Amino acid sequence: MLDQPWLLIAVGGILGANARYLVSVWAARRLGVAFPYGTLIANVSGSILLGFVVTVTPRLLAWGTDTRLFAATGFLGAYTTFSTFAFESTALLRQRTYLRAAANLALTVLLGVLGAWLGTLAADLI
Amino acid sequence: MTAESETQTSGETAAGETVAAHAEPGPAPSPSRVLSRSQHWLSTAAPYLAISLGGALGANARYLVGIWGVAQWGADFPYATLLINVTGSFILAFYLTLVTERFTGRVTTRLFVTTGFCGAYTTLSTFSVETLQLLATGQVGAALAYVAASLVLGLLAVGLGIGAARAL
Repeated sequence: MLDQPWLLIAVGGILGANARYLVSVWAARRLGVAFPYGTLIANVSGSILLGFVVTVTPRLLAWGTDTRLFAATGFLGAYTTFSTFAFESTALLRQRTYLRAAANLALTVLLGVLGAWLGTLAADLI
Repeated sequence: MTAESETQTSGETAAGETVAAHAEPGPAPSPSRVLSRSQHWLSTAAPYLAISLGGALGANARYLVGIWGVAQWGADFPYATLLINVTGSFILAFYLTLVTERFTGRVTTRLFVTTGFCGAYTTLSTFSVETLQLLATGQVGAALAYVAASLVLGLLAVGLGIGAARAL
C-alpha cells in the first residue's frame, strides 16, 4: 500500500505523538502534576503493545514489514518517550522530592520491561 | 531557585500549559476582534499540527539514526537506541531551559520541539523490549548495563542540556 518507509513512519509518528499528548493532558487533569503519571502510563502501555507487536508480526504472514514500520517504529516509538521521562525525573530530583524521583525511575524501568514481557505472552496466545 | 520556578521548568509544564490552553477556547470575542471560523479552527488545531509535524520528523529521525547506529556497531547491543535516547534528552532539556529561563517561546513551537520531536525521537518501548530481549537470551549483565547506561547518561544529558542553556 504505502510503499515508502518514511511515510508509514510519519503517519505512525503523528498518531503516536498526539496520543501521548492526549494521555498526558488527561492524566494532568485527573491525577495532577505532582507526579508524571501521564508519561508513565504512556510509556508502560506502549511497552506492552510493542512487546506484543514484535512477537506477533513475524508469525502472521499478513503482517509484514510495513505493519512493523507503522506500528512499532512509527506509532509506538513516538507514543513512548525517554526524553520527557528523563527530564521529569530530573525535575523531581531538583525539587528534592527524591522518593518520587526514585519511584518514577524504578516504575518506568520495571513496569516497562514487565509490560513488554506481558505483551509477548499475549502474542503467544494468538 | 524557588519551588515555583522549579516546577515551571518541569517537563510536566508542557502538560500543565496545555491544560490551561485547553481551558480557554480563545480570546473573548469583541466587536472589533471576532475570530473568523478559519482562525478559530487554526487556533484549536495548532497544538495538534505542531505535535504532528514534530512527531513525523522525530520518528523518522529515530529510524535513520537507528539504521546508522546498527551499521556502525551491529545489533548485539542497543547502542543506537542508547544514542538516540541520550541525545534526545539533551535536546529536550536544552530547549526547554532556553524557553523557560532565557527567551520566551510560543506554546505551539514548544509543543513542536518537546512533545512532538523529542517525544517521538526518543523511545521507551524500544528500550523496554531490548532490555527484555537481553534478559531472555541470558545476557543479564548486558541488560543491567543497558538500563544503567540509559538512566545515568540520560539524566546526565538532561543536566548538561540545562547547564548549556544557562551558559548561553
